[in-house]
Amino acid sequence: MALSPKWIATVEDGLSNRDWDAYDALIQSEIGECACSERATAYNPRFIENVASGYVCVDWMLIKAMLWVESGGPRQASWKTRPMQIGNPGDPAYGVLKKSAEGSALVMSPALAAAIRTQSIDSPELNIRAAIAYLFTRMAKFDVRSVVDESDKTIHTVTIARGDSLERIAGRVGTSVEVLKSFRSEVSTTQLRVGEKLRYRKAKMGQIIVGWRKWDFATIAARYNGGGDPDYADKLAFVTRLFSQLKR
Amino acid sequence: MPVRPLVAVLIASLVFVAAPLGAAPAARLPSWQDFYRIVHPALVRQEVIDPRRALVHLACLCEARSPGGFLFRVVEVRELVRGGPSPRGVNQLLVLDRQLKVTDRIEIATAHGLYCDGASIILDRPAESPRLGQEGNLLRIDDGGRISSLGEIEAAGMEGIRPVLSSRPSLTRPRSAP
Repeated sequence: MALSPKWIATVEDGLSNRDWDAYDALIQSEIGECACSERATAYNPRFIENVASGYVCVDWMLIKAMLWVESGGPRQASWKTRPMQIGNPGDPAYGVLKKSAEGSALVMSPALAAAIRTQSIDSPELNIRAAIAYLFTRMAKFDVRSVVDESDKTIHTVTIARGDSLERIAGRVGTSVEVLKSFRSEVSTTQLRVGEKLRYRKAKMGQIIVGWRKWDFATIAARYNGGGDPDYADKLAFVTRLFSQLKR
Repeated sequence: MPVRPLVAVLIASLVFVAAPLGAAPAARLPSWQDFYRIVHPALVRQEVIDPRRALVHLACLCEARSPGGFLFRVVEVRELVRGGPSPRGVNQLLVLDRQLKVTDRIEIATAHGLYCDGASIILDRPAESPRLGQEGNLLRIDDGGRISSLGEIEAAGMEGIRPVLSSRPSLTRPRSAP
């Protein structure tokens, strides 16, 4: 579907109007570098550590493109209130974040979760931060698995009895085979010796991020925009191409 | 009592009373207007449709029959969050029992429902169920009207879906047949 000339003219205003860059620093700070960062709550350094999830670092310009598409630019009234539209009446995204539901608790920093719960979403900074959190929530793949219980940091010990297996021990003491193995990686079922002590921490079932969807425009359109704007993916592609002409 | 609510109540009672309980066929809604008049408020009451959003599509897609023979209506709802130039869509496929209670729902985003075939609901592209951890365009429902599995079927290559699903395609026929 062809993008409307009016919409194209609107976003092309961003080529000459620096007001469209007003939130660049905020977005860069939120997304972070794809390496160790002083800002531990930034998304890229935080998620790149979880190698098993296959996280690929996100370019902050993608979020900038979404901001342009979502807001329509600084000439819109919402630019200084809800530029990313989070919190518009009936918006399910805001409810998800406020309740830390649908896995968003694993995506948001505790400070951001608290801010979304207690502060006005009509502040543009918080609105953008909330939108980024919702995007990451929608792009993550979650599963419920046995994880270390962070509410109990005690390291316990258990003595192996005759006939024990790791599964049996884990069930008896309230941990998981994975946790038992993490304390002694060479342990396997065949190496258990009666009387030997194993260290462990308590485990519980919890939600974890196990993977990520492809960060392409079509997936973002479906997952973030929910199929509301049939041109969403094309608009993102257009704005991204437009960025190559930005001379700041 | 005003006339319109009275008519709605009468139609609703026909819907609920006409079919016996169990595996008997569900009563047909008399017309599209009646469907809208009855189903829409039922979905608002269950907070599936949010009146603050713009309702842009509400249609009964088809009736699915569970393995135990229970009939469920499959309804497609598409809403837009008002406000931005690129409004967020809240697009869902709903499974409704005879009392119009939503037994399950799934977010369909850019996908659309095509038709039902027995306990299967076929979409034009994959949807995803976080509860099941599965995705696919072939949804199967159980006797409670819950989506129990998602699989893949090549809907685009099926017979009979053009131009307007005048005949229901057989899931057992080879998809490559012209």
